[in-house]
Amino acid sequence: MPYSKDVLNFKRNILKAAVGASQNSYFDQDKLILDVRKAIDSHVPYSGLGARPPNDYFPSIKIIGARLQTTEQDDLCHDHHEKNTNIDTNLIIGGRYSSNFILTNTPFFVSGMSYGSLKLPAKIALHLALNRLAKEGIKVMMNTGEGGALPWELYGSDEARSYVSKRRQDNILNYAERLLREHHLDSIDRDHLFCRFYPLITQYASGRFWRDPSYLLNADAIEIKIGQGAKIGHGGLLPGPKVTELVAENRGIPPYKVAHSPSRHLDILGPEDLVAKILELREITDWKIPIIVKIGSSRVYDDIEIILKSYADAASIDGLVGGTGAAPWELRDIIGINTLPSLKPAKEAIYDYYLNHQDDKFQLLVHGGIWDAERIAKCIALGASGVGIGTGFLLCMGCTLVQDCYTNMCPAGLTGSYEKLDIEKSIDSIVNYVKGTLHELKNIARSLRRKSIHDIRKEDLVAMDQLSSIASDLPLEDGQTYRDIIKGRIATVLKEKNLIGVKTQLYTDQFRNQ
Amino acid sequence: MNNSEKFLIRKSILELARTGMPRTTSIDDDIRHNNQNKNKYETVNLWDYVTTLGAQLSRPAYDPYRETINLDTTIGRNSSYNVNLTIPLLIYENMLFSNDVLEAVHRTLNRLAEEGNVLGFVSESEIKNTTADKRKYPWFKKISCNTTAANQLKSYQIDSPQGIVLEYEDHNSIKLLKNLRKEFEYPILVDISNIFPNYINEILDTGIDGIIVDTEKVKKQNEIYKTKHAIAVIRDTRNALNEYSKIVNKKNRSNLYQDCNNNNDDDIKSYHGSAEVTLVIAGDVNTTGKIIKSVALGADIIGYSTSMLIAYSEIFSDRLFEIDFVTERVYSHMIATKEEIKGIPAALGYSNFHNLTPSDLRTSSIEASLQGDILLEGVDKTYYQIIDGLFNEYIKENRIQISLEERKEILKSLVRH
Repeated sequence: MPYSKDVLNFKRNILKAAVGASQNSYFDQDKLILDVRKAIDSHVPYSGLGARPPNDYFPSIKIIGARLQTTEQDDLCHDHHEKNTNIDTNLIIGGRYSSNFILTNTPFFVSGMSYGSLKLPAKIALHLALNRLAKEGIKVMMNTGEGGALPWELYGSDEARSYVSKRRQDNILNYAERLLREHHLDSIDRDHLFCRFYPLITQYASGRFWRDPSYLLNADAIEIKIGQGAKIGHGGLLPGPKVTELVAENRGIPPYKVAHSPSRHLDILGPEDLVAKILELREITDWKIPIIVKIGSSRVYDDIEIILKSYADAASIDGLVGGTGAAPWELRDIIGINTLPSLKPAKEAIYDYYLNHQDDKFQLLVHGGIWDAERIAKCIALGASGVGIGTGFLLCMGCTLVQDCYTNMCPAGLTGSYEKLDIEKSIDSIVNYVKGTLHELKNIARSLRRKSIHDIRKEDLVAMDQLSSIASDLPLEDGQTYRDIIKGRIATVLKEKNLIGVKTQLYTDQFRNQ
Repeated sequence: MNNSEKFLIRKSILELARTGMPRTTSIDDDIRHNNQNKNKYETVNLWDYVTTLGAQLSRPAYDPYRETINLDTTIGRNSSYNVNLTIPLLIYENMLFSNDVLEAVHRTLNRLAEEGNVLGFVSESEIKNTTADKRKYPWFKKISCNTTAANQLKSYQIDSPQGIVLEYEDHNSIKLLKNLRKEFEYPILVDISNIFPNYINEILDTGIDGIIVDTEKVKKQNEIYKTKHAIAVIRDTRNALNEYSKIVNKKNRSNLYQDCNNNNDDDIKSYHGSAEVTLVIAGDVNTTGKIIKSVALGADIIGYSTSMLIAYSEIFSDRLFEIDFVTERVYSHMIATKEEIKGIPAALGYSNFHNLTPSDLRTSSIEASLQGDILLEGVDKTYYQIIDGLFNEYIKENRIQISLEERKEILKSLVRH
């Protein structure tokens, strides 16, 4: 955030005061600006995007032998038939309880970023880019986020529009026109805009920002959002200045007032309530549409265990680094655990559950701090079925990572401000990003001699340090596990103290006497 | 993710978005390479490696905007009169500030107290012209053993504070504390940072109501803690208090048993008092995140000096010191801090701030796990527990018998390896 001179002077004076009071040795200068902001406006300081933990484990885990660019040797190792066969990168969601399922061509998808949190041009760029990719045969799924869907996302086909009355159709078209006019996007081709070729997930969150059942019926999947990584245990949040009249109309809330969603679903307080809610949604959707339950990663084993028993088709975990449009800064930084360590308990819960149930069609999706093919492959190797990407897509559109998404001052014009976003350029970038990432994923699979991206296993990974080995249960580079290393140390210490041999004999003698 | 990592991530993604072709290196390769070139002497703050577990399906969250979150704290296990705080912070004057600064803080605390937000204030002398009847918040007078005990007693009676903070210096302090306890009806807190972690039980046996530990002072004074972090100081203090509680409860139980047998009601006076000693942690706890983590580690109240710094910072500005203006700033800061302190326990699924426990914490650092007994992410065990489990496995497999002392010594050397 570009702070005013007054704010910066104030910060400098606090620093001087800290030095004067001999507290400079420990004063956290990164957090000092929060104290300044609190003292100036008495509000809890917000921030955008995700937390910034000093250790998110990704760099300290390596895929052995994986390459983003293939070499001639990789191609030689594949016979003629294999070389021409596409590496399978598909992702299937649903089918555990739902009669329909989603099939996409990429194991990654666009995480929930709502209209309101993102400005309309950014939402349109994502929509048109995914449409273009779908036409080229690459289907990428998109999540609407908490703030409701846009007219062309929900009513992107004649069939979808046929579910609503003529009057409602007129209202929808009228709202769409007003949206485009407000953002000076009149020139956009309506036929081009009013179609959707990619699968859409609509989010069912505690704010209930949707107007009628078509929000659920026209989606390809429903995601019940219990929480998100950036603000676990805190409901959705959209600061007042971002709740413009059209955003408010889309959400059914008063304009220019901060939108605080409840921190929990008022009708989901425990496992039984979740079952009842999912059954209710199943009835509404005639058991057709897959249902995903999204949680922020905390007590992952217990939460996944509950989801497994609740008629859901998939679970989605959002790690500590998971982004957001706005979250209380301190809350964002201190609640949750990292994405990679949350995969281990999640997989354990699924494994424990399916010991008694053979039909494993449960999918595990992860979000949070995943930006490129290598990170996607690491998550898949550790047990994820699919991966959600949010910030990666924003970066393509020009995000500068200044984390001011909660203000109307985004320098890239993505989350607010009157900076104009170049929609055409953004579409090209998104298309390139998806294609490039897919290409890299295929190269990683090919360099590991795998036919499917989902065949990448835990055995392909090594940890670079002891902590990552413990958190992800992976061997270290020399092939030893952390258990081997610690036991080796135990043996050495016992030997130094002459406790091996002598005591063993003693023990054996005592055992015999008994 | 620091700024250099942000740069690497953005650069890498933009390359992919521009070309649509596979890159030569991944983001993780770049970050790993960057970390290798990092300054090895860069200080690591263990607080950053500690996070908390939020409430989700297995524990529903509370809503701080729509539900009441209790932050109330009472000081005074043995005093006739208790001090009740509705925000668990004691504003700590850790140097001599000008009267203008103190006046601004005084006005802020009064304004907050009028609105039901009661915080304590610790300072050496009463703020000029602020007698007890003008004070709406509890004031703790800081006294030391340097002057004679009689003078101290006299002065606190004149100032009429709602509590006393004594800086423990030597064994004479015990005598003074015993006298104070007899004379003074309000809570007595003892700053034990100078002698930490010794004599805690002896000090608590004088009947005081709480102890104050300044993590920074402890690190300066005590050789053992020089290389340790604040989380180790808080953990060790809480463990010492828990041990003390066990002893007191045992004594109380045996006294009660004797009373029942003797049928003598007068003996009830010989009870040791409540075991609930208030623990105030000051020093390296100056953000809301650190406040929450400290409370989860065992602190009851935080000695908070950021409000003083905000008031004091005005001295360095080009403006004249306007007390009303500074009061407004300190007040705004405290209101926002209170909202944060309420919001985080709610998001962790607690309606009471003091229900946080160490089991709500997780860490992504072995050092933090060792120093604070904090569970590691992903395995829900402390590093010590992992070593201990593997040690048990090893001695069982190899049929080694080992004494308890030897075992402790070996485990100690293993975790420090």
